[in-house]
Amino acid sequence: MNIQWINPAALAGLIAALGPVVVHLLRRQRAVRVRFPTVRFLTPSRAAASRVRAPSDPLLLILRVAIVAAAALAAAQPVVITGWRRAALERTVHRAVVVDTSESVASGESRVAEALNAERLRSPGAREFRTANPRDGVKQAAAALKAMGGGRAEIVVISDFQKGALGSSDVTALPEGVGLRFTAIDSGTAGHSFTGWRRFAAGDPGLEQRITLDGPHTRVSLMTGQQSRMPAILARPEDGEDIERMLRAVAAAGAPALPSDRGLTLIFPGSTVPAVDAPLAPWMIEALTRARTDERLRAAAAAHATDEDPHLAAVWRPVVSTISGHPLVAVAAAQKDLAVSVSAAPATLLAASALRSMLHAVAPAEPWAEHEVERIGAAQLSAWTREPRPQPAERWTGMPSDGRWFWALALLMLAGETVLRKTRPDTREEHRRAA
Amino acid sequence: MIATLDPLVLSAIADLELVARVTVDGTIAGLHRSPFHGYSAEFSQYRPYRAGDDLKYVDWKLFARTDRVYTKQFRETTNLLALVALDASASMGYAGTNGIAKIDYCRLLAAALSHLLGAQGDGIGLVVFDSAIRQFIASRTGRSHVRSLLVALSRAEASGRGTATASALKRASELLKRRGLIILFSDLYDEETAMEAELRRALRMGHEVALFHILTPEEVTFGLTGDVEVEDLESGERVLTRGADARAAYGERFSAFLEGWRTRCASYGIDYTRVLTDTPLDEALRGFLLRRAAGLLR
Repeated sequence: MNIQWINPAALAGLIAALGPVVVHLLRRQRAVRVRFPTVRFLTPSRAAASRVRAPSDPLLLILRVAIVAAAALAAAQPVVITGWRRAALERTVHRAVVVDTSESVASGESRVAEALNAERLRSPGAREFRTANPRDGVKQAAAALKAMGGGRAEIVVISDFQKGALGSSDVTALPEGVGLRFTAIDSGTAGHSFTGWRRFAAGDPGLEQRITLDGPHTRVSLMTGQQSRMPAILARPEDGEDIERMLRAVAAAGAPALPSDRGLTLIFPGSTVPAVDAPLAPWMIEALTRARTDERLRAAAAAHATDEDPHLAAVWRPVVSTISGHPLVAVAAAQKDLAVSVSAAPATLLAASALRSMLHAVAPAEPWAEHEVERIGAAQLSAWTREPRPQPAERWTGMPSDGRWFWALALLMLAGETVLRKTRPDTREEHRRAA
Repeated sequence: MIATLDPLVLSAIADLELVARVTVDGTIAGLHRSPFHGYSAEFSQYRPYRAGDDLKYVDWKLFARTDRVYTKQFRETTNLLALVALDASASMGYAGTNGIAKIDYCRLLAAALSHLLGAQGDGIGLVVFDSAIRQFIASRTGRSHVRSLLVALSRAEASGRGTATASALKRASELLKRRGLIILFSDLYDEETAMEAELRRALRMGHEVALFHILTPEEVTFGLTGDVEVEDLESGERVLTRGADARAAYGERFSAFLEGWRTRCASYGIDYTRVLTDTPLDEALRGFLLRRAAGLLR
């Protein structure tokens, strides 16, 4: 049998068990003075003075010490690991299932569901972690299993296991004894082609990168793409040339073309502002968040000298602002487009930076890793696979404390002490005197 | 009529005269004749001769007929002189768990007897003493006298260091102008030999003596437990003892003390009544009066 303490610091409370002994000694050091009609029938008892250090009621004293000790032990929250409890725990397997939800697995969704159902049947109480990054999922699962206490622990990973999804370091980082099992899903992503990127061009058809995956071969070709969708620009008529120069500058610096399903409207000072609303579409919120973290846009805003209040309506969400809090670049929803208010002339660096930043924000980079066709080999997965082993007793954390039994014992003894104390003639006499 | 005269309830009543009347009314109901016998010519009854009886009251004719010696008793037609001797020493201030001090209990009993005697036209007096006589009221008759006696009784407080029962008895015997009744209320924590001598002296002088030995239940049982330092209320002497251990020896000695007084009084013809302060007043009084009414005493 082994005892672990969840709160071992509370064992210091055992010192308090000496309290009843100290109280007893202190109390016994002086006799109670009682006035009585006569002492002629009494004989002085030397024993009364010499007995001050001898417990008058050892049973009561022992009981009181035991009550305090039981309370201290209960506060320390003991976990008593008996043989049968150890055996039962070691039979238990806590399981966590990590499900890869990355885009590459999306095509094999039914197979993922099938594998997941099989795991659910095998271990009904298993925790599930859905993540696009199996590496993070494994870490989360390991942490969760650690908190589950004794028994054996196993992590099951359901994924298509693209190369880089997991590494040897991830496996070795797992606590010793934690089992690892892999269920590979054939996502069938091999052998397809997709557009890598399309470059923004000012007026001319832009360049388009085409990637074709064919088994172990990958082919990348650059071709003239379709006329990319241009952002709508609202400015004063006399700013026409400046607008042209700004578009060419942004194209030369390199920026992604607008996706066909997303529109962008740049509004410069002096132009008529269309009816706008709060940007609530998910892609608009995503673009706003991305643009706010663009360091180059921030640098351009910091270099911009103007500090004028553009007097925008409350629906506009600032992207960058002046020190005084006036928005320099703000976004709102203009029907299906994202309206961008720029409080600077088109000829300024801030205007070009705002356009470049918003193009990057609206057309995010392609998740290249999801097109990886190479998989972690079955041999490697097999090498990483390991059987769950019983955790060492020291790691059996999170187990229910047996403190309640000690509390119950303390209460039981307290009740016994109360009964014993009340039945003592000494106590009755003390109560009478107090009354 | 109050069914049971709880001493604690009665002691809370400030008007001692009212308490006395209530107690007496509740006690002597059923006693058709006076329990106090004087020495008048109206014949009352015979009782067996006891040593010390005046030979002039012996019925010699009856002796001739029956060969037994009887003393004649006479119903009171002259006034009886009685004197209440109240021990007001510090030990009498002890109150047991029932909260009534011995002196309070004595005050109630003495007031009741005074009222009873006064109502019958008997003379009643009072001696309050501790280490010396603190108050003396000569035995006289009359309602106003009884009232002033009750006032004096109500003012009696337990105090002083020591008890001078013997000298108080001696003084009481001398102050009674003729043969009378001395009613002593005390816990008898005093020099026994001296007290005994004075009691015998009073008897020799022809007085009757009734002794009310007043005690609290705690004194009889010695209920103290644990390590206690017992302080004598009168002498201030302290004794460190252990309640449970001392109880047996205390009980033994105290029983001997009580038994000593009982046999002593029985042998001298003293009406000895031991009363605990938790005894209802009417019960304590009725026992005494019934014994007198039955002629067990002179």
